[in-house]
Amino acid sequence: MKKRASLLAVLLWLLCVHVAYAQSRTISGVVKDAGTGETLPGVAVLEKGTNNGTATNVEGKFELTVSENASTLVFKAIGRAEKEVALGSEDYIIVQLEESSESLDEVVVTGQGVGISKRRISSTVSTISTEELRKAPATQLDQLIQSKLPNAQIKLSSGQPGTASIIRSRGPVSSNVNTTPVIMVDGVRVDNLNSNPELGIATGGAQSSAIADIPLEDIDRIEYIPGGAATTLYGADAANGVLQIFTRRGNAGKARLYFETQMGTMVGTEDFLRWDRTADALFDPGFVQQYRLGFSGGSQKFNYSFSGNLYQDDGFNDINKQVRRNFRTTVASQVTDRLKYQASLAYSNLEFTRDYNANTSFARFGNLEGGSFGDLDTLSNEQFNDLKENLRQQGEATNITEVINRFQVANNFTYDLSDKVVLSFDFGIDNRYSKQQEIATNELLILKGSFPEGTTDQGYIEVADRNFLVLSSNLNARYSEQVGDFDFQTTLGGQLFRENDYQTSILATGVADGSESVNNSADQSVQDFYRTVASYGIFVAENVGFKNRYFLDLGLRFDGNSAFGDEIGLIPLFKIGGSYILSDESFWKVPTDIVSIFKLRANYGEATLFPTPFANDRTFDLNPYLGNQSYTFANPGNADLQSEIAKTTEFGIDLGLFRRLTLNFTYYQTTTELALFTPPAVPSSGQAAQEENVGEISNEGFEIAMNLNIINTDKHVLDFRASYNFNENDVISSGGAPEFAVGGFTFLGSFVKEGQPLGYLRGAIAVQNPDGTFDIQRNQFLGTTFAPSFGTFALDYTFNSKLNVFVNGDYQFGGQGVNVDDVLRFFGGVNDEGRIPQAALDANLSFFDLAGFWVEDANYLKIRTIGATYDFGSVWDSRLKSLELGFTVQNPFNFVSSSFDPDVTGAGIADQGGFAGGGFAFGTESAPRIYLGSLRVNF
Amino acid sequence: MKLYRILLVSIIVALTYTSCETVDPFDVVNPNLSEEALVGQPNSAAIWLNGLKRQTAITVNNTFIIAEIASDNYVNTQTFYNQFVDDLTIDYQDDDIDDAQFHIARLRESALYGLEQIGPNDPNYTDDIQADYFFYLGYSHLLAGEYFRALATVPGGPLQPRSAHYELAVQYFTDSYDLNMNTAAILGRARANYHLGNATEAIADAQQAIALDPDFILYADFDPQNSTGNNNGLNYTVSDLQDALYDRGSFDDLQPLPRLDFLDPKFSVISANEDAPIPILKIEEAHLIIAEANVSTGNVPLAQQTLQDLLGVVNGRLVRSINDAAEDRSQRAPGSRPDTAVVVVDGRPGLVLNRDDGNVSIPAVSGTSVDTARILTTLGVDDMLELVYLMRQEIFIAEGRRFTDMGLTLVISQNEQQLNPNVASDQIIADIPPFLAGISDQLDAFTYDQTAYTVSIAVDVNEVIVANKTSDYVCPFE
Repeated sequence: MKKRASLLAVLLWLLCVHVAYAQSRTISGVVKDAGTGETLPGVAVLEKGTNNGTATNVEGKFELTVSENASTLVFKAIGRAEKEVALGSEDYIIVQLEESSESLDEVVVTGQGVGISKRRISSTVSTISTEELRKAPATQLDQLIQSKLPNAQIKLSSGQPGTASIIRSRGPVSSNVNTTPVIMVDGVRVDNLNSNPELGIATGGAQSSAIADIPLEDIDRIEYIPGGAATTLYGADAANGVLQIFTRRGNAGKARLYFETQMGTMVGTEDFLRWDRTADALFDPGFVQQYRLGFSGGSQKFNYSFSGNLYQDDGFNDINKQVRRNFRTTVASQVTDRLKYQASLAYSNLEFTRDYNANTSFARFGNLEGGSFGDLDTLSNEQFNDLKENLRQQGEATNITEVINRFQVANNFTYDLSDKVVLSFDFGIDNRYSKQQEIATNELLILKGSFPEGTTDQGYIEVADRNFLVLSSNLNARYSEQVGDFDFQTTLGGQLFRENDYQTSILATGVADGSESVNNSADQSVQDFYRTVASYGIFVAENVGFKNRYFLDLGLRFDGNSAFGDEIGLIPLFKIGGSYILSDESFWKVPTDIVSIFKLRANYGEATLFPTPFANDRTFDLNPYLGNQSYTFANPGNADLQSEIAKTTEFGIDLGLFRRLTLNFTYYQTTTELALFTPPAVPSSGQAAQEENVGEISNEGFEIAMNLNIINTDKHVLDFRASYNFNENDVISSGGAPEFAVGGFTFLGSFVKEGQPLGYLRGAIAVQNPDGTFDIQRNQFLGTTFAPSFGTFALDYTFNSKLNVFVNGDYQFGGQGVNVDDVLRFFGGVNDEGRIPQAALDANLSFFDLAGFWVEDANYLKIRTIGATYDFGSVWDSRLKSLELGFTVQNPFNFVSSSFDPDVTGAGIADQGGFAGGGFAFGTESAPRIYLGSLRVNF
Repeated sequence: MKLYRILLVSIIVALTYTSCETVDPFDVVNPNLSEEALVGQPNSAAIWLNGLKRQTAITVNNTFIIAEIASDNYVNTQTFYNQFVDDLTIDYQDDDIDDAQFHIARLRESALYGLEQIGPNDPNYTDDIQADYFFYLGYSHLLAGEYFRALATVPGGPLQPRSAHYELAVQYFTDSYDLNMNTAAILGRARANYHLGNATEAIADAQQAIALDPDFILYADFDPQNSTGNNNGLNYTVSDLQDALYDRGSFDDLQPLPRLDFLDPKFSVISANEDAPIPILKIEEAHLIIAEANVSTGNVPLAQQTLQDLLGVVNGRLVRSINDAAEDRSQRAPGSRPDTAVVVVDGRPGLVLNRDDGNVSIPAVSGTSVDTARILTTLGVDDMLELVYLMRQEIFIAEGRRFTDMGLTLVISQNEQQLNPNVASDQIIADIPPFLAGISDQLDAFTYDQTAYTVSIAVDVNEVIVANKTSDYVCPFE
């Protein structure tokens, strides 16, 4: 009996083991980067068709118990192509994941609250990989992404250091703010003020930008969404799109170290100069040097990375100098089995000096090119040398500096509440302090011709401080569920951000030469500017999949903001979208060699831009006046002020053809309802213009992006990428308001008017009558600064996985710009020959009446970067894991239809993030040509 | 266990709630002043009055420059200041014209708000302050009448002819004077009555003003130190006219008619933080009104006497010695304009200065080329009237007055037309006096013989005014 019992026990035990064997097996392995071979932590590993999964640890290793009949594992990671691996008899597998720019299964974060594969979403997300980013040794973010995003155009307003840019994709949706997207680093908002601050020093057209000093250390990838439904969940100010930067994390294992240096020279671009002698007088090639050092490492539970950067250049003239000192530290820790904490901390320091620019009579470049010294070619050598010497002295006496110190901190907590529910909480800050200073000594003012020799009491110092803090926080809960062929991803989230912008400006007059302090002056005056806004929203989003090929994307957000008028509560925002992977259907008979991907998508979504903080309140000003207090009317107030809402309908097709070509086509139509206009009040009221939700703006267009793999052999890989974007912008309604200026000058400005594009160029047209006289038609449409057609392109060749040669660029056509330099030359009587008909010159028309003659088509094709790198691989008995040498030229070639640089603008960017249309080319240098050699070593 | 959980949750909720006060991201405070922060506050009336004076300076910036360029006083060869009106192209789309009526209205609305809201609620409101509110209200209507054929008197309201504005000016100056016997109000009323053609009242007011203060000047005062924004902004308190006349560095300034060269720049740098004040009312006007009234009754000797009295006032006014070498004359086209003291303009020497040779002396309030001998040798009625207009031109140069003396007016701007349903279509059409229409491009013209150093002015506008003295456009007493 005892024996039987034992036998029974053994049988039962065997049965149990058998059952256990029949139910599961354990697969382990490691996941690596297909290119570098580095192990990849945090990769999701899933048993296909189930919710069973795990993630790779800090060493890239995983272990997963799967059912015995499991045939396939799915590997997913942000920024990489999803990979399915068929399970064989091996229990240990090595998986290589490729970075991917165009894959249906690439995982993206932006626009969805949490990571999601592109397959599931109905909108477009562009990504730039580390590899791509490394190809342009740019110093500022806008420069870095220039020509790399298929659907965004980036134009730098000046070649002076730290200057603003115009970043746009789907046309301007607002007359109230510029087209710069929201910028986030590791889920935390950062200062994206892409213009001079309200109290910034006006030293002409050179606009300072907060984008110029966002630390670029250790960027893993960048995601960009251009607006529309993809931005609905962001609320607040996301209608211009969202650009997210994700930083790299350290890996488990032995610490890794890299060192990188770049050296070269920076040369002023002469392509757009009216006179060669301008370059002779001012340009002076400068030395560029940059050093980067980074290391990373960690264990299974904890990892870290550090990278630091020192950069210095001497500019392309005798004044500009720029120094950057940045570092970033990241940590990631698996606090408990369920809780993960990640953080990044970055510091950025930027110091630079600038020359006077554009819209000031002190501008050396502007005065030369604007004809203040007459036709430079007609000056004798002696005269020119005298002028050159005088300008050199002016340069020496010029003292315009800016210093920026910036800290960014991002914290992220993720908590796996269960297999199905993940909580994620981000919070962080960006604190940016900038100080601009202009010291104009009596000596300088005398050299500039403003005051007679011997003047001692006119020196002044102007200081502008800005202290900006943005605090942001997001809390998301994601619930995943699968029911039959359906799977659901439900996200519930809330967001909050608050921006504090404190500015002060000090003007000291009667400053004694030799003083760099405002204290040594006859008089001082101070101003401050204070702007605070709190924005908050809650949202629920549902992404439903059916058979992994039909997807429905729904979202609802309620958005609140302290800038709303008293009558306005929460604004509801809605999105709905769907996508359909036709090529995954069983009836899809087209061979995958011909069409591998055929995805249809459509969506509708609402995104907003909040009103100017405090524009809702009725206010009065107390101004200092002759040492006394004085009151005046200020803002009239508007209790009904609320966000403008951009409503976008979008259709798209994504195609993968011949396994070599991906094509994305998107059509969009955006109507900005309740558009924020600030038109003049009836003049007889004597009241200032008030921001109101009275306008309606339309943007319609399409985006085509393609990636073509031309050659793909063991030795040769040649890729070509290009995009074409078309945008038509129109102010549908101004709500009866008169047109109003948003930039430019009185004689030729950038205006908002019903029936015209936003910021259209307005000025007079002189039409000659048969009798020779001129008929002047005032306030006519002269052009638009937002070119309807634009795009980017790149060619990339790799030989033997060692040599990489690349070129990229961008283009636009259909837009216009103003050659303001020639207007200034007109005053000096040295205007361009042939521009203005002789009859008009003889008629002695004013420059107001001649405005139309200065507007030109501003078509261009610019090569932004050409470069090559060679990877020597492991050298010195593997002491160096890799050694890479490279060479790049930035801004080597410009092909333009205009007599000016269509990128630069001296007057088309409004302060404090206001409307920026650009298009007023004058008085400032183009982005310089930079030749750089680089060396990168991994230890 | 259950109790423990409830307790724990309660504590967390309570702590979360209370800790929110330490980080309240929703606490947003507008740092600017609300209406409640002003109305009812002690001394708010006096502070509001300062605001009115400041607005007066801003209104001056936005009216005088355009008026000076349109007149024969100045030509705009180089600056970004108004480009249209020089040739009397008075266009309703011209932004400067819009700014002019806006700032006149802003001055009026500010004065009214002081009278209706600020003053009555301030425990420290005085008659003197109220008198000043009335004065600036009157001054806004005076400017409205001087620069426009018709303007609204209330926001978006019906357009009232210039005579209605002068009547309102008379009424408000009277209100001001009744509260406080101030020279500004009585002199302002003399000027309004002058424009209305009320010779008797105008003379009486002028005489009263002289009696009250024989040296009276009221200035618009600028504050460059505390100015913000650019020159079409609402807080630009730099003297824009001084900038146009003097401060432009390497650009040309506005260029005066050569016979007025010795009067330019009337406003020039005082110090880095002080701009020259601009007279908006001065006692010279009282003498000129009386003299013109004398001429209109044919009493030339009395006019001669009045003008001699005037010379006495003018000669007592401030003259500033300034270094004007940076200005020169037309730097962009050297030699095109007379710039040396030997130049003779239409037979008269001494009207052009040499600015390259040390400091020059420029009248900062009033100056004239007319001397006693010329007054006493002017005998004909029309000749005397012409002399009065020459003296008005010289004494009021850069004070925005010549424009009105020439019979010019601005038009209703496009913004007003679009937003105010009361604007008739003819109100946006310029009404140029017929006697100027044909010579609009000749007003600033002259020929300069650089070798003989002689200048011949193309048109003597004073002669033209007198020749058309019976026209409704000019000479209110005729």
